[in-house]
Amino acid sequence: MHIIEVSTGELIEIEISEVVEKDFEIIDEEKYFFDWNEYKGSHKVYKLMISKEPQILGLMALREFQNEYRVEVSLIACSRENYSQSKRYDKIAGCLLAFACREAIKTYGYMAAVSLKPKTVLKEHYQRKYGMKSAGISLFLEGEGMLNLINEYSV
Amino acid sequence: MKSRDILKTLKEEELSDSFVLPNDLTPEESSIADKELLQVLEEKRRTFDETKKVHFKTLQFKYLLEDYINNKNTDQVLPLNHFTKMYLETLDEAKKDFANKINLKESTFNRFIKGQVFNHNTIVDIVLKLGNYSNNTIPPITWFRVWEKQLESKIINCTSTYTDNNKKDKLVYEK
Repeated sequence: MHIIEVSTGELIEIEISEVVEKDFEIIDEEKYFFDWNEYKGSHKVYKLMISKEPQILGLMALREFQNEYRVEVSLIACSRENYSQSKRYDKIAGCLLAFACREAIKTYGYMAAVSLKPKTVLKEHYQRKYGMKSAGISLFLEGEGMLNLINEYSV
Repeated sequence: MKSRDILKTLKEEELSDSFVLPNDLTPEESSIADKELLQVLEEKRRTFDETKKVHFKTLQFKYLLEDYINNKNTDQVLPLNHFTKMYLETLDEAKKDFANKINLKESTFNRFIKGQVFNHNTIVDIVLKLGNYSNNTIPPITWFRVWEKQLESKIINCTSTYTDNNKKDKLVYEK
């Protein structure tokens, strides 16, 4: 899996893993925009880091809907250095979303789906950027849609 | 500026590029949204053909193997034949049919599944055939890494036994 260093265009190898208790000590609202402690217990929280480096560049909270073979992306946030036109690294959120697809397939096989309930104004952006489909309020990926994203982000 | 306030200043494109934000739905609205989605997903799943199902099952197995390989916990090392058996179960394949499909003698494959094949050339051959069978969805190198982990564990265990024996010898000598 890779993100892109915006200034050089260089591909940087990353790792995504589940956040452990100790990480919550350094995940603060100032740097990661939200109180991630709220997601402890009810969600699985994942962190994206450059391989062998300590900084967390992005976070994602996933909620399992086992009976529906579905994983819901409740929250994704890049760190404060990586969110706007002046961001240092690109493709952090895409990598996290593609990773959610991988985890869904790992758990649910061909039945797997990934969904999110977007802010209305952002719906079209997610559809365009990640190929998500609309189902009422929700957006989702399943089947080929998940494979496309996994391939695009080399997860 | 507080971090939450920054979000209010971003353009939609910037927001969608770096965030999936919490929604403002009530529990009732959220529940309705889930029901709508489930209906659509169930309809999609009904149209899945067998080829696609096999591809997803293979991918599912690949991700399990990758996570196993990357797990540094050496207490949970499982042999290559164990995972091959699991792979056959995942694909609902009989041993005999599978041996034929990968062009391997049934007796050799049976011995391999029982963990009775130790010849490295034979194992390399099986690893290549396993990769080829999945059209490289699970590449031979992934199967090889499972075998490598098995060998690594064996060496670590042999080394610790060897070292322990040496220590005992030394203790006896020192007495």
